[in-house]
Amino acid sequence: MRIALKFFQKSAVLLVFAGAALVSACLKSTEPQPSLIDLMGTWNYVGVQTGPFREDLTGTLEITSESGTSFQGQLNLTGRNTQTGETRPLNGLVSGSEKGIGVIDFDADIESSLRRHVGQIVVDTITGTWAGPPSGGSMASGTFRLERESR
Amino acid sequence: MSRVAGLFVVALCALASSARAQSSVTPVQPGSSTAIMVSSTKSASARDIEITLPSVTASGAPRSYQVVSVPVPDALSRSPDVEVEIVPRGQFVILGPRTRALDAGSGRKRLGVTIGIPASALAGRIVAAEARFTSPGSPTLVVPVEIDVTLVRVVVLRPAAGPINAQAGNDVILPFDIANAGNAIETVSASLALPSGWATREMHPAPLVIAPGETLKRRVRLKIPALSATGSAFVQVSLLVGADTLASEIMTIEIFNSSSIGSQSGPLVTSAISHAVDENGHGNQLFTLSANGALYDSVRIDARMSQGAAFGGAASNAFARLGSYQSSASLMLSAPSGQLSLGNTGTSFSDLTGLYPYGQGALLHLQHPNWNVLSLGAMSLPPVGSTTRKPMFGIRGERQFGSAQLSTSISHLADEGISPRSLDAFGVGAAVPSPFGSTFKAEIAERRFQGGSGFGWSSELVRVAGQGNEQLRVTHAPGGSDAFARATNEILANISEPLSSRLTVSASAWRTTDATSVFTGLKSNGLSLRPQYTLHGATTIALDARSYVFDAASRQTTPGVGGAFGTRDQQLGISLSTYLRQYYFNSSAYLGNVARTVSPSGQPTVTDRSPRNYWMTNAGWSGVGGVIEVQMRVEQTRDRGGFVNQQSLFGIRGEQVVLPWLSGIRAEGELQRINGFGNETSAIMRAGLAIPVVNGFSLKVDAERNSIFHSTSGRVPWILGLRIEHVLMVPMLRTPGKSGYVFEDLNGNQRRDPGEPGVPGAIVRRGGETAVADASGKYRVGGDFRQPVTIDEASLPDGWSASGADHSDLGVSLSTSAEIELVVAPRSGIAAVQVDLAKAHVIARDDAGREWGAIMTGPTTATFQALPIGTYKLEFDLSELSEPLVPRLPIPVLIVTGKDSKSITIILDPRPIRMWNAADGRGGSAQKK
Repeated sequence: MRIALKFFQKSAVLLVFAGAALVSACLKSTEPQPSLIDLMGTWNYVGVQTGPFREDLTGTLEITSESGTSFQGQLNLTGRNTQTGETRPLNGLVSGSEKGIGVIDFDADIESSLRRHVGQIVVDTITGTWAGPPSGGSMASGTFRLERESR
Repeated sequence: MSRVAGLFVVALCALASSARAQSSVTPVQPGSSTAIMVSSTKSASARDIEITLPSVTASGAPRSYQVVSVPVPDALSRSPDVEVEIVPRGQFVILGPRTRALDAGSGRKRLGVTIGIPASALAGRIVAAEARFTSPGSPTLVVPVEIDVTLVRVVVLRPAAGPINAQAGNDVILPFDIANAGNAIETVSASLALPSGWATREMHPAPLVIAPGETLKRRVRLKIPALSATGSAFVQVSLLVGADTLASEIMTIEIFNSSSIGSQSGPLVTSAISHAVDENGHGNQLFTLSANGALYDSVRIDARMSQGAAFGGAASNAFARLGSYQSSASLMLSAPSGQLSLGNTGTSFSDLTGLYPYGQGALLHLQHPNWNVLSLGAMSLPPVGSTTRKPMFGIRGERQFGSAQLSTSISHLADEGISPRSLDAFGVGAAVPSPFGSTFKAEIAERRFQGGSGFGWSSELVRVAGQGNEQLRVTHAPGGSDAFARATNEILANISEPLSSRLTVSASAWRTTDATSVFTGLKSNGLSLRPQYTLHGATTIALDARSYVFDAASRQTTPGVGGAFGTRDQQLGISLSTYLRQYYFNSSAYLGNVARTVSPSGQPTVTDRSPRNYWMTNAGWSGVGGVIEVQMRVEQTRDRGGFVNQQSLFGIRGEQVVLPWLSGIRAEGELQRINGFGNETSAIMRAGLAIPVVNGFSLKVDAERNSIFHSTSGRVPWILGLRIEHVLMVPMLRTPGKSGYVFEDLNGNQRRDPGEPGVPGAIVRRGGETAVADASGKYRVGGDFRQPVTIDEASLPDGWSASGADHSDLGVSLSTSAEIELVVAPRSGIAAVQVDLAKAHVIARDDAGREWGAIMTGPTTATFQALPIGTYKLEFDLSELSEPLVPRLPIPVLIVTGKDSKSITIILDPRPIRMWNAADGRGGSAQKK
């Protein structure tokens, strides 16, 4: 039993690290390209979730890198359930791009699901809607508004 | 004058003799009397003068007898008439005559004295007796007899009588007595050997100084991990003096882990103040107060409130790490017959008459086996920046009619905000049993909402059987999620079926459409299929195929927003899960693709399609001592299109890890590195401690450095959080539960009679509550008063079983086997009857009318394997035998005394055959009677 346990432990650890090393070695980042958009900086995020339950969303979106028309960053939100008053942190990575003229499309990886945000940028404000995978039979969806705080 | 001179001469002689006496016994020890003491009264005779000579010393242990040889003083060595009196001191005893007469002149120079050393004699040299020598004309010469009492170190550890029971997650008091049964003062320290994950609440236990004969009562408070399983736990208590272990005992604690707070204790009031510094260095404070637990029998309270707020994600995150959450005040009282909720409250009436309305008000839910009523009256919470609130009320009633259940509900619901909702609805529904063990539910409702009204309907077919279940639900709720429904239209199918002992298949499919104040159309559909195969007991492998599509069309009226967007995500994966003891390993890999479309108003549709592959693995150890896990996730998508691309995550985390060398402090920690989007990396470093202090106080500290939290200057600071918590267990409003005795029902009458002893340690249960009978057999158990109290027979000694209840007293009796020997009598002495008795049924019926069946353990033997004490009537069902037999009357009663196996014999008679003469007209054939 003890031998089996040790074998199991060693096998599991080796598998994890070997696999991780293999896959990370295969990962290759695309070389950055000159930015064709100008979104870098901090944006104040104000939004609501209209379903499946009502939640006020406030926080910041930090755009940290740009390449061509795509960008990446981090979203740092606090959600307040408007029915119960409870709050919860909602944080995640963001990746998106500009689609069409002035249309900003990005995903925020929040609580292991991607929230798709699509909005229109006008000067330093992006206004739009977002939707995500269903939870409890209802799609998570709502609106958002981003205002640039700093460049 | 000459008389005094003579006395001095005798004294000088005594001095000389004492020197010899010492040399003949034992050397004089420091501290012992070496001086000759002379005392007299002015008018005393020579006998009245006492001269104390050097002592005689012997050694011995308490409770022993020592024979000490006392020399006759030289001054009296020639005296023919010497009297000796042995005078004991303290609790020392002298065996034999205390006074003796000696003729020293005959050469007897020594005197043997037997001294008994008392059990309570302290270690060290003690004067045990005096030998007083007198002779005519001589002063009294006193020779002290000292006993050097040897050191006896006996420290007794006595656990408190009776079982010790505790609820997982709570503290338990371990009482014990320490008695010094030795003869010296001891300084002992207690050492505890605790089960994994346990902790002592005493940070620095001080050594105990305990005098001989003294008994100290001590109580050690231990923290039991919340994850402890129900069962026995063992704590070894050792008493140490230096490196020596003087006593050690193993104490057994019965742990019960139920989802509810143990009924033996009242509500747990937890107050905490939390402080966190956000990414910009601003302080945030949050005060939380909660009370959870039983107020009294079957009535439970759950209340909470908070004051303060977190500004900024970092502080909110820190509060979550510390277990502090901002919430509106609420109070809920629940009992088996109902539930009352005040403050922030909410419920669901039905799919059509309102899901999840919440507000500030009251909720009352009355429950009865045949009916239940749910009612809500509340005001919606005002949105941020507004004071507008909307009233909400509703009521739902259900009643059982046979196997069918009818329901009706009416509601008026509304709230405020950017996307306000409203609903006025009235509905009726029913649930009826359907074929194959399923239940069919249906409801219709009139729904009126902001901007319209409609007739809603829903139906659902549900079957739950063993490990398999199926569900099909179809709902049409006009108004959709803006009118307190999940969606306007919904169809959902779930199935999970075990196809064999190793193979299980789960599948689901759904489609929803909705329209809200934000979206004109919000559609989603998806499906998944997951066959799972168990390779062996702990290892499963599963395939997973899933597809998910959503399309959202925004309303043009929303400023700056228009058009539509959608996502299609398809994945095919494989996963492996296994565990061995407390180690686990999970890994899954998925291949797939994601297509994203966006159709801005007035612009062409843009479609992106990208592979999305990922592999995630976690492995670790999980036990009552905490969780330690390594985790990895690698995800790869195309480097464009809005995906979180080429992201990899490697981490290690620990949660609730017990640090036994730090008095059971629990630690948490996390290291995580995330690589993504080009050269961008981020990392999380976090450490936290949960420190029990004293008197219910504890501290939690948390420090996190997370790349996601930047200050305005771009710096990534450490986010610090502190929570000071106090936990107070308050008593119940009244003594809870039902009490009684578990007793040995020696005469089997199911009543507790005088002389029938209790059964200590028996476990009784009522619903989910558990209690253990004390040393007298008495128990007290909480739980739902409508449920019966039963004995857990696994807690009884072998052979014992529950025999019945008399009100609250529960009888147990020793079951013994009994054999019934069946003997088939020959038919009228003509011939033996051969009958196979294998199908004979022998039944014993007790006084309460309960039946006990015997099994045929031999060709003619029916055996009752375990019959409780009592008197039984025997009944026979012989209808399945090939030959008609009847038991011979009278059938004896079976009396089981519980001491010996019982065996009785029953004669089975064949039915007699009577012959008639056909000619007499009364019958023409043999007839069995």
